[in-house]
Amino acid sequence: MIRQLVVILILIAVTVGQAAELGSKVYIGGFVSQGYLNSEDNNYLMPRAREGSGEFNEAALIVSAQPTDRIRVGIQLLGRDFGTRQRSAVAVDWAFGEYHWRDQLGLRAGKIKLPYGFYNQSRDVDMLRTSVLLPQSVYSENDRDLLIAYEGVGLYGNIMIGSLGDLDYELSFGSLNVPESGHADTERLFMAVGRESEEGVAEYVADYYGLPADSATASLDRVDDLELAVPWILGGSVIWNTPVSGLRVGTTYMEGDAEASALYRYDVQVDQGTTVPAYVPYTQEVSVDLDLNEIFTGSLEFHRGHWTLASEFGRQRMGKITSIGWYASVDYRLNKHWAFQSYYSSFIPDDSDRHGEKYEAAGLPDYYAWQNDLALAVRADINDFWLIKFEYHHMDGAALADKIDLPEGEVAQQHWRVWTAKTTFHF
Amino acid sequence: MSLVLALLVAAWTMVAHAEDEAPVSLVLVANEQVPSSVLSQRQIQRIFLGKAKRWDGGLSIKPVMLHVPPVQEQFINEILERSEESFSVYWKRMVYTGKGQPPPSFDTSEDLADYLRTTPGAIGYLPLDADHSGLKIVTLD
Repeated sequence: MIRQLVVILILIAVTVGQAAELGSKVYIGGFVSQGYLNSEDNNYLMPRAREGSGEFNEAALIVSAQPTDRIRVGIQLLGRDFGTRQRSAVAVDWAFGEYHWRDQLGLRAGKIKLPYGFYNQSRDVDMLRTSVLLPQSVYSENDRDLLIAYEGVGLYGNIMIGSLGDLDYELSFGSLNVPESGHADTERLFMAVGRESEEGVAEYVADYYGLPADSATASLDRVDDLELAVPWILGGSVIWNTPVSGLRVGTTYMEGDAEASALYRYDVQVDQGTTVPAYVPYTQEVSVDLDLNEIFTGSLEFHRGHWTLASEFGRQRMGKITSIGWYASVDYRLNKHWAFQSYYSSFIPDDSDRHGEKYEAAGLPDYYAWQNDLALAVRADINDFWLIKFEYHHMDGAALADKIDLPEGEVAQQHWRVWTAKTTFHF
Repeated sequence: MSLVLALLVAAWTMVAHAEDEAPVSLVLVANEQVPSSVLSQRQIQRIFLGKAKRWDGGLSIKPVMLHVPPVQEQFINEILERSEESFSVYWKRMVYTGKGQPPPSFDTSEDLADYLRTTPGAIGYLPLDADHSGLKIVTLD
């Protein structure tokens, strides 16, 4: 990642020189963050979290220019390592051009951050909040690669509504280009489903050779040719900046279409003493077409003086599963050097199974059906360019904990804790 | 339940114990080509948050900041009704999502006044005792 960023810095220097000749206003900024996360008992957000992991960093460079008073162009490059996700590859985080026709209406085109809740568009920028982790009930890292940005066009504007304040809106239409790193969670889900089908595959192969059903055993070897695409997504956000100073209320709505396909590779072992081969490789092609119908958030933020109160609710319906999550947060900035935040969040991955009856019926703990999170965070700004954060989470439930890569016979724990720290340099 | 109670207490604290406001010691000033000499506080806020970019008649709005601590702090706290930290975070969020760039900032009243005099559409603020000859005074509605 460092070598890629050095090359990019050189390119930026050349670009700035050329832009200066054209007389356009150019802005350059960036940041580097390094974090550490340790979760007791359960792996959380990254594979080796139980042992403590430093696979938790971001680095970004942004260049934007305004060649005319109506046109702005910009690009942000982001390198990110978050466990198995993205592994330090530098990618275009966003890059778009914008035409400001009127205050009430402008046009954007390119790769644009997706408006989802109040904080999705800036979720990777550590210095914009007190906490290390955004509430995972609404801003799950499992969904980040799917919901971070779209490629298409957008309309935006600000509309005055007299004594009632004003409205900020964004409308989005395009496709989601899920990076390879974003396939990791999908691959794990396909693996989990594939393992559940092993018995059925063994019975199928045995039946194919005219043998008793228990003559064969199958095990999933791997998942190949995984493809995940979101060919279209349509939605928008509206934020009402109310007449009450510091109070804003917002909502987001999106719908779209997701397609996933993969090849399951099974190894099937057949009992000795038969006339069929002892080993039968078996491949099964699986395609899934999901409706992203709907993705909805409701948000409220109240800022006054040293205090910021925020609360958001999120609901996602993919296919037949609806997940819901919410949080309430209080943030206090003591002075320019110290800030404190606490939030309580709650996440239910399947609204039809809030109490875990389906998990219990499958022989799993009921607390897999929820995850409640009480977080405490402190931020110290050493100066205008360097900050350090510490954070503690007390968890009840394992909805977002890793339940797939567990040793045989082990289950995720209900009550567990997470410690995390992060430092950021920015300019 | 205890968290809900804590949030309610925080909200009450914020509303009931607002600090007394200090006397205003700054003046809003603009380039003489700016068509308005009276603006509401909401309009000023929209300008300095990058939401209003055109004056009536189409001239581009160019807000500028004076980076002199007591004056800037008072402008952000009392006119924009934000803390300096939240104002900074707001513009960083705009930058890192590609939606805008913060208003340019000047370190002296003289430099800011010179910029306002020579830049059509520009608006800013100065200490009351600064030289604002050749500039339009903007009053709050």
